[in-house]
Amino acid sequence: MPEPLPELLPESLVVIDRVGKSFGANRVLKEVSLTVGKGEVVTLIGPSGCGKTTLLRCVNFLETYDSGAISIEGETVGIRIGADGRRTARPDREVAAMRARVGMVFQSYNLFPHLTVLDNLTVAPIKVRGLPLRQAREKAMALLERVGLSEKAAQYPAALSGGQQQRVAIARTLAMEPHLILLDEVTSALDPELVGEVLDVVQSLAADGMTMMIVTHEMQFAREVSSRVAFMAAGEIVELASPADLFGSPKSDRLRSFLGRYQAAHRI
Amino acid sequence: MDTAFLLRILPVLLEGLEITVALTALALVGAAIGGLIVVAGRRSRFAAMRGVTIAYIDVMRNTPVLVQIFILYFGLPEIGLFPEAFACGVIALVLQNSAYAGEIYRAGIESVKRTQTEAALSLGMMPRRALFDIVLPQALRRVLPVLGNQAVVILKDSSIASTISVTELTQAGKLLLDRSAAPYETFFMMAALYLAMAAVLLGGMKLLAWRFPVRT
Repeated sequence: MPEPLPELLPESLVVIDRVGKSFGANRVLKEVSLTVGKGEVVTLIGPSGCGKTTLLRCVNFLETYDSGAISIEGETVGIRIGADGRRTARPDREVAAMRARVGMVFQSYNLFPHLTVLDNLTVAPIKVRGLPLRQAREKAMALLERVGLSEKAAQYPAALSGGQQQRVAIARTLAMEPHLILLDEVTSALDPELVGEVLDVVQSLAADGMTMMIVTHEMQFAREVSSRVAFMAAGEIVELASPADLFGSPKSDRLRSFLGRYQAAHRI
Repeated sequence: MDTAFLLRILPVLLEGLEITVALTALALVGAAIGGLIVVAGRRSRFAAMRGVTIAYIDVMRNTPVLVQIFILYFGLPEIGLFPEAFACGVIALVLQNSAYAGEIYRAGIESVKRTQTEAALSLGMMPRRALFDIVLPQALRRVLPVLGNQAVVILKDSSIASTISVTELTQAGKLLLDRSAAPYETFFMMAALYLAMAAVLLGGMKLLAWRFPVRT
């Protein structure tokens, strides 16, 4: 039997299986299923309120989900499901251990303002992983170098521009050596001229084979960086395809009208 | 004003001042720690714990510390306990100011955005570590000025221990007054000493605020 091509059948890292979630009477996720292979970059696009950010936050259990299951590397996220189908909450320790392997970058950077840039990068490796201070610092400096900000190591986040803060936030996430990174509208809070520097860093992570799930409104970026793109609307994945297919030949009316509105808004 | 007289009473007042400093220092440390217990109870995930803590805070904040001292000093002997006057003073100050400190801590904690906790959790920190290493350091910096004011309140309230025969600064002044009948000089001197101690406290807080500035 021939070996399956790894590009075609990547080992799945994240399995989202019919996940449902409601905020009160509002069903924000309706039986969403999605698999992310190792090394894949899956981008979620869709109109505001379609559930893409909620889905992303469910993956590292910042948000709980009501039904279905999410697994990362074979382990269900936040809950355990018994043989009889009963769902029990995982203890904090297990949730934290899962999160240590899953990085997250936020729209509003969320750097720790009372810590220097360097300490922002070392606090979790030291306190969570137990890395010795010197080793943590060396690694942090290397990561700051990578995002082009090593000269800012001793500064506090407030002294940095939005784009610089977001690059530090990405480096902070990388310091934990995550197997998967979730990026939640990482350029939405940035001035337009600062968007590029952040997307370049994300682009370089993709080139290195980092597995990522990305929520974004930057269609051009989604097109360039993604292995696959999921279009969500009203709590469902409406279309899931390669960027060329999804943007080139949208099948559903909802995606066509979404892309149409996006193009109209971005025509100069 | 008779400066020679002032110099003569100063040693007596300084002895009282020592007791005032001891009372205040112990109450400060006690209330700083007690406040942590209060805020933990107030933010507990268990409703019963929150209820008990809220009741405690309400009782402590809405009754005079003078009455609380009387209950300890004159009430406890009724049930066979005979605490020392000095201890009663410390305990009363700690009980009341733990309630205040707890609420000040809480205001600080709630002023730190939820997203800070989320960022800490998403790096794999346990909830407790996120609170102690990320949220509390920011919260405490923000409420340092308020804590400073409360520290001065403790200093001033320590004078209430004079009512149960603790010879702290106020009581020392009163005793002097009985012997010298020079109220103006004695009370002027006392006020100046309290003012000096408050200045030291507030100066210390300023130093802390300078060393640990609020950054956003």
